[in-house]
Amino acid sequence: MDTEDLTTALRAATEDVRPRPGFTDDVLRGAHRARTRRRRTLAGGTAVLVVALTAGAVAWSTGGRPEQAPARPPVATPAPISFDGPTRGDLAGDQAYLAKVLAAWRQKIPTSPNRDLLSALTGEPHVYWAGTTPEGRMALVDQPGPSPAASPALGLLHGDEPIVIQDVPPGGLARGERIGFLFGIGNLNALALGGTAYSSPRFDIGADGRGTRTWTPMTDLDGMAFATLPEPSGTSGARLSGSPDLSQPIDAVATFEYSHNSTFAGQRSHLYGITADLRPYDGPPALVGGTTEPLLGADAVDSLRQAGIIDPLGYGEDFRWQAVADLPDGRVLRSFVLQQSGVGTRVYVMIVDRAGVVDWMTCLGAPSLDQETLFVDQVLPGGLGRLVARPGARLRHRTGAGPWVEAGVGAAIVPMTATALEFSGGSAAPRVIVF
Amino acid sequence: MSLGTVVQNEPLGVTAIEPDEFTDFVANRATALLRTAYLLCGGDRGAAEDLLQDVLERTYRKRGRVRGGLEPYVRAGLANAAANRWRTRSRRVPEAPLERAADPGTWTDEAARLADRDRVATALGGLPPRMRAVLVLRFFDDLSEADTAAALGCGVGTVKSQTSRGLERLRTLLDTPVRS
Repeated sequence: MDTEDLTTALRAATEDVRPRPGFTDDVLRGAHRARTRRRRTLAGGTAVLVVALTAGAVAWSTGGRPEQAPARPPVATPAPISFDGPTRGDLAGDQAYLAKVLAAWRQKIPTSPNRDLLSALTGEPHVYWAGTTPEGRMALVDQPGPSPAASPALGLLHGDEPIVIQDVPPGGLARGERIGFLFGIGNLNALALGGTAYSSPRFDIGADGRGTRTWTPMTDLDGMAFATLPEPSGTSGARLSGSPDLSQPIDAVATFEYSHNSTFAGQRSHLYGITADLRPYDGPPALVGGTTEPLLGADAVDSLRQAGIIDPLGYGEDFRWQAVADLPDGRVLRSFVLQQSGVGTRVYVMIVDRAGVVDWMTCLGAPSLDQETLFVDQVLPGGLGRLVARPGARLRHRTGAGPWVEAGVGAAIVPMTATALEFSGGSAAPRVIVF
Repeated sequence: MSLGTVVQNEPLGVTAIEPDEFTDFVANRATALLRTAYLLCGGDRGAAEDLLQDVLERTYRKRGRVRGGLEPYVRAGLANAAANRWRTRSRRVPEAPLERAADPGTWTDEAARLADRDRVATALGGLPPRMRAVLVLRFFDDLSEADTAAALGCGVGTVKSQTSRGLERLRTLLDTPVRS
């Protein structure tokens, strides 16, 4: 097979791939929608056991009584990075390399996306650090901007013939703030300004639907910290921190992210706050039996973070399809599709009691896009029945040879005695699932 | 077919993309872009739709900073976002697809082999994301080496080396010789 055959094979492999009905409308709706943005709140410390989602209120509970959210852990203020002094790193004495670094930095400024801000630099550039990494020789240049109180411009360079792979305009960092860079193939290498730092490749979701981050010390390269991240990792999942927890996050700019042609502010824009939208990609939400319980929205994000369902360092979360139902015992059944940055989309089903405590929860993994199967088919505990869902579809169930019983649209709780379910919608023929 | 070069985004001389233009673009190009996304996601259709939708929405929000045409910008976005994304186990393309691939010895008809979409897509999914992106942009989207380099934010040398290694690894995965 030559490359022409490969092209043919790739075309053949995709010839029947087409967007789902309504895809364009979904994109445009999502694109136009103003996103709810809130400052990222870092949560950490005490593991909280439950998430409270009831009657539209989001409250914390460790045993049925809503309590205040745990206080944010004390954040130790790191010592500001000093750019004065001699060059650090194992290549500090390689004058020929340092000269190449400075020349490459000067050459880059006129073509940088940040060149308007870099044109106001004052003084001479200085190599803060030059060192050898597993990815080759690298250096970090600093040069003061017009305000002596603001952070200097920074340039990260890579290679024996160094090129600038990221620049940071003067004033781009808050006082004392550290910055990290992800670079190389797949953005699997990380460098953080300053010595001690930790890396976490991703938010790992367990079988119970709750996730954790594992923090690993980065290698101290005398002024910079380096790590090679395991695959799969990369920009959307990897995070850096000055401490082995969530208390000192270091924003990591992806140097090969597609937005690298954007200004530095544009590159960081996704780091500044979380988003939480209701994006009904998968179909309209289902309010089973006409329940008046509200759908989950941005106000539920913090609780879901504390419960370990949402990554506390995630960049964005979306509630896609949702179903809500009142249970006979007064509790509320919720099912939702959660999509968040760096983590695969998952379907959750949970039962929340009157005090806002999650009594029971399961994670069904990725939602099925197969129109011939149910979106959710989950037996509920305690003989409560069976949650079945197919967004937008009309549902009917029957027991044995008995008559079909209408069960509503989108989602329903059918009795455990039901032996078959029919769902239909649109132009497709009705489908029957036998339990 | 050349899709052009992604040019530097700069604050001056930028023409904002009008909402109507974006709407027409999505309506007319979604299928082609989804096919690229499908290959970039190693044959995971759901992931491809998620990826494309996410990139298009981000593009709309940044439409005032797009130069050089929407299509190359979005393709670059797809390639890079696909290379950087992480999927859960349930959606992740297996790391060792050879173990699940059909026995090459049972393939006697080259046309049938090439038409096996699952097989070639799965084989692509067995490549590292960046290498996969290079092959998709070069041999599915017909981008030149320079345009591929621009889209991925790397050098032409990297594209060449990734192409060479990618073809070799794909050959191994498909167990058939590939001539570059």
